Amino acid sequence: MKILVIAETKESKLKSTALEMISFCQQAKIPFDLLTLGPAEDAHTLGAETCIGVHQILSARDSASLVAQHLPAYTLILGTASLAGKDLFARVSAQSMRHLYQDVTQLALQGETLTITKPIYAGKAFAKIEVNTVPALVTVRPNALGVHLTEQENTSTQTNKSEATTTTDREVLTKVEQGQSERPDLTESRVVISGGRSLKNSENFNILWQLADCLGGTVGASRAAVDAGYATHAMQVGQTGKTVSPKVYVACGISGAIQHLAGMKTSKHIIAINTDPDAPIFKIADYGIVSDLFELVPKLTEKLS
Amino acid sequence: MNIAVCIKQVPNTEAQVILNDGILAFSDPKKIINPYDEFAIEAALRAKEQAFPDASVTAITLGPESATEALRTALAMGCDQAIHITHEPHPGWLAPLTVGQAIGAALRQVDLVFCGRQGIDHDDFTVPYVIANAHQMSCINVVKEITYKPEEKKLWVVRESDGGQKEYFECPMPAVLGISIGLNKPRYPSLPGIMKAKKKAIESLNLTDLVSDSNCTWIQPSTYELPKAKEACKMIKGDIAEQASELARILKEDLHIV
Amino acid sequence: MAHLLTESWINEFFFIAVVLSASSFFGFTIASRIKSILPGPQDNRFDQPFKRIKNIFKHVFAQSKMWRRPSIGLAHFLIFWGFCMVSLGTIAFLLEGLRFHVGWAQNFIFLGIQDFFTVLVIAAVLFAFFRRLVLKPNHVRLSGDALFILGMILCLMVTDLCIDGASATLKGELKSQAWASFSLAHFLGFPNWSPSVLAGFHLVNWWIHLITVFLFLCYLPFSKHFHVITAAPNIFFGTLIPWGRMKTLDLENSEHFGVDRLDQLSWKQKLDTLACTECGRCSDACPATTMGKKLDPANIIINLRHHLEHKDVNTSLHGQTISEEELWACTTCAACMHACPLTIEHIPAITDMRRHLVLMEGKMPEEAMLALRNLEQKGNPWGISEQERESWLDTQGITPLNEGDSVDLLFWIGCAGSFDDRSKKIVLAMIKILNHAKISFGVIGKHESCTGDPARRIGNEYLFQMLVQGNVEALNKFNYKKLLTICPHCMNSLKHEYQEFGLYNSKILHHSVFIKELMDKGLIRLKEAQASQTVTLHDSCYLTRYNDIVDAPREALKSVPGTQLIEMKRHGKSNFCCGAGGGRMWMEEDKSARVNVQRAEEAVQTGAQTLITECPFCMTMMRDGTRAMSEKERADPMVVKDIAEWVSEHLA
Repeated sequence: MKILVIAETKESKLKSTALEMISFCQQAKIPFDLLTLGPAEDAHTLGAETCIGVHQILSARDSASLVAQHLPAYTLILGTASLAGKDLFARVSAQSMRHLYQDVTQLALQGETLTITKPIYAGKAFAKIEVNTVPALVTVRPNALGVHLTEQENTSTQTNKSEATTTTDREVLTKVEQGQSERPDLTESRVVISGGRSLKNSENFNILWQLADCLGGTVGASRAAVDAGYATHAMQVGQTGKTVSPKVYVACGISGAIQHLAGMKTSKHIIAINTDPDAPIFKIADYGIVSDLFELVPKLTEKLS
Repeated sequence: MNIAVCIKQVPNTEAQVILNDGILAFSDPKKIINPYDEFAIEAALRAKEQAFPDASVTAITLGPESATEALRTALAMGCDQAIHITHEPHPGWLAPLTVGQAIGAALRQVDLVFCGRQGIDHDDFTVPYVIANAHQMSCINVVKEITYKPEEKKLWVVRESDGGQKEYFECPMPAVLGISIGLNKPRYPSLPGIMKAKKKAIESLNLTDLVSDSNCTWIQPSTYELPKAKEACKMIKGDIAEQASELARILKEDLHIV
Repeated sequence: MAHLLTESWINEFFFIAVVLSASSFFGFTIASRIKSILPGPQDNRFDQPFKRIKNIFKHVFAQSKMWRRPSIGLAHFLIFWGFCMVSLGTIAFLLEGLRFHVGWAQNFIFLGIQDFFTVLVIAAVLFAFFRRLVLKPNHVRLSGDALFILGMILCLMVTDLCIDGASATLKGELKSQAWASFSLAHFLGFPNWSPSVLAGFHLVNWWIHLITVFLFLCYLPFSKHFHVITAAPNIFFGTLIPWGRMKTLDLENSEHFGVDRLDQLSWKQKLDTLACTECGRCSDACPATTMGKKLDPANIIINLRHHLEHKDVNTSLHGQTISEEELWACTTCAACMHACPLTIEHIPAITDMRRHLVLMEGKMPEEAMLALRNLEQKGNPWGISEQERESWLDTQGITPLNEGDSVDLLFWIGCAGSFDDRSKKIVLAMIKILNHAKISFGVIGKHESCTGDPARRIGNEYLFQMLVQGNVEALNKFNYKKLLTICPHCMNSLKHEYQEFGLYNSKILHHSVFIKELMDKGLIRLKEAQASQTVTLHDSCYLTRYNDIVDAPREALKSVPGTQLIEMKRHGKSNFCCGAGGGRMWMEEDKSARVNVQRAEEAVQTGAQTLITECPFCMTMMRDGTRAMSEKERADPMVVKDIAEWVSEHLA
C-alpha cells in the first residue's frame, strides 16, 4: 500500500491541510510520497519516501495530467477538498476514470480495506463507505483530520523536480484577482456579524465592522436596524432582505424574530450576543453570551487582533 | 447548435434525515431541483437568448421516476427538449464517473453543457468534468460570470477559487460550465409554460444502454451515522474579559475562522 | 312646463332637429360604449334577481352608502331624487314640444312637488359648488367636469322656473302655478314686463333648457357623470359572491391567465369603469393612498376607463395604463369596495392584473418570489421544515390526531401559529381557553400546509390550487363538525374558497367568534375586575369587511370584567388596514411611509393601555408599528395582545 499526498503550499511551506494528510499517513504507518504544487522547504522533513516538487505554475488541467501520470503507482491519492483541490481531483478522476470521494471527514484503514466517511445531505447524515477500487482518489475536508505529526528520522528522501509539459490548454488562465482587497459580499462571506436595533445608531455599526475586518468577514443588519436608519437595505438579512449562509454568523443585539431567522438559519455556526436571556435567538444559536455588545464586541476584536 | 443542461433532484433542504434499521429515509418525501441546477437552467436559456438564438436547449437528468418533475420545470422555464435517463431502483447512489459517462453518452453532439457546480446531496463536484472528458470539451467549474464570443466560438469565464480569489479564463467551445450561485436570477416559470411542459414528450433512455455493466458503479455505504443531536446553545459565562477570551478561542480553535 | 306658446314651424323644425340629432348621437355613443365593454370572458350576473333588485333599493333609491358622509349625502340624495322628479317634467316638456298634451303635468299638486324639488336641487347644487370650491375636502378631485355638470344642472333648474313663471304670466295663469315659479315670477317682476319681452325671455329660456337637456344627455357618456345612466345597472349587476372568494381560474383549458388587455376584463368589470364618478371615497379609505404610495384605487378605475375610451383594445394595460408598482402596493383590504357607493369591484381588477404578471410573465417583487417558492417547496412562506408543526406541539404535550379520527372541533393552527414565536402564544392562549371551557379538540400537525391565501392574492393561482388540493385531501381524512382558526386569512379561504375544491362542509370559526359563543353558553368564567383596564381594538380587514365580523369580538372583549374599550376613529368596517394583506406581509415596504406605523399612531392616540388584535399578521405589524413609534417618542411601546390572550389572562 502506498499513498500519494497532493500538498498545497503557501509562502514556500506546506499548508496545514497537507500536514493533516501527512499525519494520517504517519499514524497509519503507511509509506507515502508527497507531490507539492509549488515550492515547500519543509517537504522533505516529514517522512515521505519521495518528494515530487512542481515548481512551475501549471494549469489545473496540466496538474491533473501530471497526477494522472503518477497515479498507477499508488493505492490511494489524497488531496485537500479546497475549491482548487476539488477541481484538480475531479479532473484527475475524469482523465483517469478512477473513482473519487470528495470532502471526506474521516479515513480508516482496517487491514487492506479503506473506509471513508463523508457528510451527505448538507451534513444531516454521514456515510461510511468501503473503498474497494484501486487507486482511489480522496479529497479531505480541511481541518477534519487535524495535525498530529510525529518526529521522523531523517531518512533521506529523494527529491525530484517534476517537469510537466504544458499542453495547449483548453482553458487559458488570463488573470487572477486576489479576493482580500474588498470586503466580501454579504451572501458569499464566510463570516457575518449582524447588528439589531440595539446598536442605536449607524456609527455604532463600526464596532461590528472592526470585528468583521479582523475575521475577514462582513456586516449585516436586522430589518429593525435598517428601518431605524442605522444600516442600509443592502445589509438587511432576513425574509425581505438577503439570505446568507456563512460559516459563522454572529448576531449582536438581535432578538431572533422569524423573519430574520428565515435569512440566516442555514449558517453553520451561530453565535448570539444579547442582553436578554430570553431572546428567541438563543434557541437556535450554538453559542450564546448574555452580555452588552458594546463592551463585549470591542473586547473580542482586541483579543483577536 | 446544441446546448444541454444537466439537472437532478435532491431531497427537500428542510427535510430531516431518519435512520430506520440502518436505512436512510426523509421526514418529507418532497424533492426539489438541486438549487445550483436552477442557475444552470437559467444560464442555458440566457446563452440561447443572448448569444445563440438558433440553439436548441435540452434538459437532461439521470434519476428515478420522480426526476421527470425536474425536467418539467426545466421545460416550463423554456428548455426545448428533455431527456430522462432511467435506471432500476438500487440502494445507495451512482458514482459520479458513471453518471458523467451516461450523460456523456446520451448527449450525442453538444456545444455547450451547463451543470450545477455540485449536487447538494452528495457534493461530488465531479460530473461536469467527466462529461467534458467524454466529448473532449473545455471544463470550468464554480463559474461566476460568462461572456460569450459566438463568432470566435470562445467564452470568457470567471471562476471562484479559495479565499475569494477570482480566476479569469478564455475557453474555446465546446465547453462544460459548472454554475455557482449568484450567476443570474432564475426566471419564474409562466403558467402557460408549466402547462405546455406537462404535455411535452420526454425522451427516455435506459442507463444500461448507455453504460456497460462493468462501468456502472453504485456507491453503497456500509453504514450511515447521524450527527450528534444539535446541542442546546452553549452559554458562555464569566465577566466581559473571560467571555471575550473564550469566544476568541472558539473562533480560532473550534471554528477555524481566524 | 307650459305648452309651447308660439306655433311657429321654424321652432318646431329646429326642435325636432335637435331632438333627433341629439338622440341619435346619444344612442350612437351608448351603443359604442356597450360594444366596447361586451367582449370578454363570461360573467354571469343575472342570477338571484330579487337580491339584485333589493340592492337597487338599498344603493340607488336609499343611497345608503352616500349617507356615511352626512352633509354631501343629503345633498346628493336631494339632487338624485330632485332630478328624478324634475325629469318627469322634462319628459312632459318634450312631449308637449311634440304636440302631445300632457294633462298630469299641469296638475297643481304635481307642479308644487316638482317646484319643491327644483328648489331643493338648486340648494343642493349650490352647496356642492361651495364644498368643491371652498371647503375642498381631501379626496375630492379638482374637476372641471364636475363644475360643468353642476353648472348645467343649475342652469336646467333655473331655466325651468323661468319658463314656468314666464309662460304662466303670459297666459295670465300665474296664480295657478306652483309656489316657486310663482315666487320667482314676482321676484323678477314678470307681471310688469311687456308681453313681447316676456315672450322672448320665455323663448330664450326654453331653448336654453332644451339645448342644455340634450347637451347634458350627449355629454354624459364622456363625463364622470355617466354614472347617472350606468349607476343603476352597475349596482344591479354587482357581485353577490362573497368578496373573500376570488374567481377560480381554469388552469387546464385556458391559453391566457389574468388580465393584460381590456378584452380580458369581463363586461361587468368594464362597466365598473363607466360607472365611476371619481368621487374619491375609495382613495380616502385606501391605506396605500393615505400613505402617499402610487396606488390609488380611483386612479386604477379611471385609468382603465381612459384606456377603454381612448386606446386600442389590443394594447397592454400593464406599464402604460397601470403600473406594477400600483398593483403590488394593494393589501386587498377592500376599504375601497366598502366605500364605493356604486359597488365597483376594484380588488378583482387588481388581482386579475397581478395574475397576468405572475402567471404569464413570472414577474413579481423578489421577496414575493421567495415566499412563493417556500410555499411550493416547504408548505409555508417562511420555508421552515414542516416537521416543526408537530415538534413544537410535542413540546406542549399535544399529540396530533390520527387519520380517520373523529373530533367535534378541529383546531387549524395555521402557519403563523406553528412557526412564529409570538403567534404560538396566541395558540397556547386559545388552547388554555378551550381547556378551561372543557371543549375537546384535535390538531392535525403536519397534515396542515399553508391555506394558500398569500399565493392566491399574490396571483399564483396554480400554486394556490395545489395547496388547496393538498389541504382538502388532508382535512377530508378527519371527521369534525367545526373548524377553528386564529387567523382571519385562513378562515376566509377555508370558508369561502375551499368548498369549491371539495372540502367537506363544516362550520368554520374564527377564534374571536368562538370565544364569544363559549361566553354566551356560560362556559367561560372570568376573574373579577381588579381595576379598569383600557383597551383598543384593531379590527382585521378580513374579519370586518370580508366576513361581517364586527360585534362578536367587541362583545367578547367587553365581557371581560374591568375592560373598557376605547374605539379608534377608524374602526369596525371602516378600520384602517395593518398593511399585511394581499401577500404584502412578505414584501418590503418603503420605510418612509409605513401603513402599520400610521395605524399604530392611531392606536396610541386613543390613550388605551393595550392594543388588541385578532390576526397574527396584524399582531406582527402592530408590534413593529408600536415599537417604531416608541422609538420616536422614547417611551415604552404600547402593549399588543391577541383577543385570545386577553381572555385567557382573565380566566378565573
